[in-house]
Amino acid sequence: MRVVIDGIEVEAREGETILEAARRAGIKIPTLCHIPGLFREATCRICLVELKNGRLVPACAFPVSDGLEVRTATPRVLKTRRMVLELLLAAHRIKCWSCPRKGACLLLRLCKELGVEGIPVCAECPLPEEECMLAQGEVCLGPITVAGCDAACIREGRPCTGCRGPVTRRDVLEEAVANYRRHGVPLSKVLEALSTFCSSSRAYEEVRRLLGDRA
Amino acid sequence: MKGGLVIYPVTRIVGHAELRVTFSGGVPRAEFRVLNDPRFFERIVLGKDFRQVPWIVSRICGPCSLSHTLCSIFALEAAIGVEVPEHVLMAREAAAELEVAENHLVHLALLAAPDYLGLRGPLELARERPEFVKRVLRLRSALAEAAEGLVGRLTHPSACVIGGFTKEPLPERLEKAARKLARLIPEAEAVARLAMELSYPSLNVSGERLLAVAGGDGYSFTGSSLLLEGHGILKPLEYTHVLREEAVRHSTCSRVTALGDPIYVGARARLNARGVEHLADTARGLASNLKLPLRNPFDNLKAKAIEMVHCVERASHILSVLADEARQRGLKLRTGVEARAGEGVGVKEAPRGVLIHHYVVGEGGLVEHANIITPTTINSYHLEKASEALASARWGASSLRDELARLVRAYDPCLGCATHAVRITVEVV
Repeated sequence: MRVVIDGIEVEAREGETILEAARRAGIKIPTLCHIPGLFREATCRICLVELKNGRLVPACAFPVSDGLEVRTATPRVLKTRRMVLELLLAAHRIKCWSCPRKGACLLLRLCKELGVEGIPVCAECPLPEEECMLAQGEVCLGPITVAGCDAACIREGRPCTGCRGPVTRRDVLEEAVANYRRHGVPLSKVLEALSTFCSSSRAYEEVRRLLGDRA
Repeated sequence: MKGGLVIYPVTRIVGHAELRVTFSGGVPRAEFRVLNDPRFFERIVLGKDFRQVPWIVSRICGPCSLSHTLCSIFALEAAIGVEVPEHVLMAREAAAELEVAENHLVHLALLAAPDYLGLRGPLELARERPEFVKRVLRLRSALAEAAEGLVGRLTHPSACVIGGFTKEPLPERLEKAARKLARLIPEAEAVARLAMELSYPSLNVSGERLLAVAGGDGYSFTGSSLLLEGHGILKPLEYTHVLREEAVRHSTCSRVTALGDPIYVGARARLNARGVEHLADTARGLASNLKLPLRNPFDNLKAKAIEMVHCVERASHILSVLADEARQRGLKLRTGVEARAGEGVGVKEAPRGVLIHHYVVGEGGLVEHANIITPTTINSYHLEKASEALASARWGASSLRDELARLVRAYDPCLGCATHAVRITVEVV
């Protein structure tokens, strides 16, 4: 049978999912919970695609049928995926500095692709927890700075200076404060460092309020 | 065109600008208006720890971020009295050359060349000569990649700090970059040849003074002093005696003059000051038919083409020397830095010409005074004079508008850097 994905005709087999057909044709659809052969319950909903009738369906579970027309990157699909990602992040415990995924974070990759913020630079930092800049006594802004730079400075051996602006999620900041405390980095120094690149942003004010209470 | 003409916006330059030429009583008057908002960097760094300064001022410019970083490092190292090991100087010179080559390449091939090929811009160029544009982009990637091995990244270089580098580059990586650059010399030469063979209008600006960095080893982009035509060698701190900087009403960029004359900085000034004998082999071959001194502002494009090839060759050479040293003895790329009070001026040849950073560091290492003069700031007055010369020679010609825009592009102005001065009038009522 034939299906049309993003305007491309794809030969598909009976019983296949949209995802399988798309991957074979080289069309990328993001997935998180889908693990071939192990898990196909379609719970994360990041793989939503739009059918011709306007329905949004999970590509990893929806079976193909002859003549099915699918679009994988309409504005509506992207908007919904962003929302799905935000919901996932809301329930996600962001403890990047001690995460085994450190440096290769799947969530962060999706965040970058879809333009969702909330994950700190620690997620892409190549240093393991014990070599963390904070453990070396540096004032590193990695724990409170928006990721997306691939931790360029830390890779060159200098601490993060927060040029991408601060994360404003309260739980992330609270974790960060605990982390700074644990390593004996004074919060006043953190605020001073943060003022270099974002002293006039609203985000900075937010962080100052949160950290300031504890400084 | 009766009383004057306005070119707004001037396209294919780095930033936003307008050129306004008025003609009255047979005398043309040109105003080059920089329209970027003032950036206040000299104010931002006040009161900051001196170690933060290079990192902050690297944000002044995207294309020549490395130049601002290095120039501020030179100034601050002079201020606090740090001597860096020779390997650091070599690595910095190589990085500077990679930056110059990258800037020249993009400007020549994508921004300036379409003017002389009868095309409307880089997109049309890509349609007409896809192989040429691909070659340019390949070369650009190789230059950026080589720079990444040394300084972390070309824009906002994270490995450059006062006292040297944050980490030692891997010899394998240096070697690989050196080999790749050496392989690409013919490609660079082909691009340069195209730029050399285009025909440029002729023009002369009377009373100009060329300014370039002097000192350093051979045809280099880092050095210890300035050379001002008709005046001689200036120590960095002496720039304040000779260069006069004043705010003008029509632009956010200040006007810089030397003893009342317009100054020209850039590839043309460098080539005139350094001569062709120190150029690397292929570049020297390209320059063999050139008669120095070059006085035509449009010849800046030829000088850039020659420098671009020179930079690729010389950077490749320095990288391979560094790789050998790293293997045999190990590189010494860091020296200790302690806060001390002092005053220092750094001079450097940025891709577009002489860049000057001046800082006073107080007790405790906090910055008390900062002054930055960028190449485009220096050139903007010269550009006005050149526009006037072109306008008076070609007034009435239907192509004048295009020719003026080409003239601006021949200077390759970088306006985000240049925007600088702002005249604030406070009315007390």
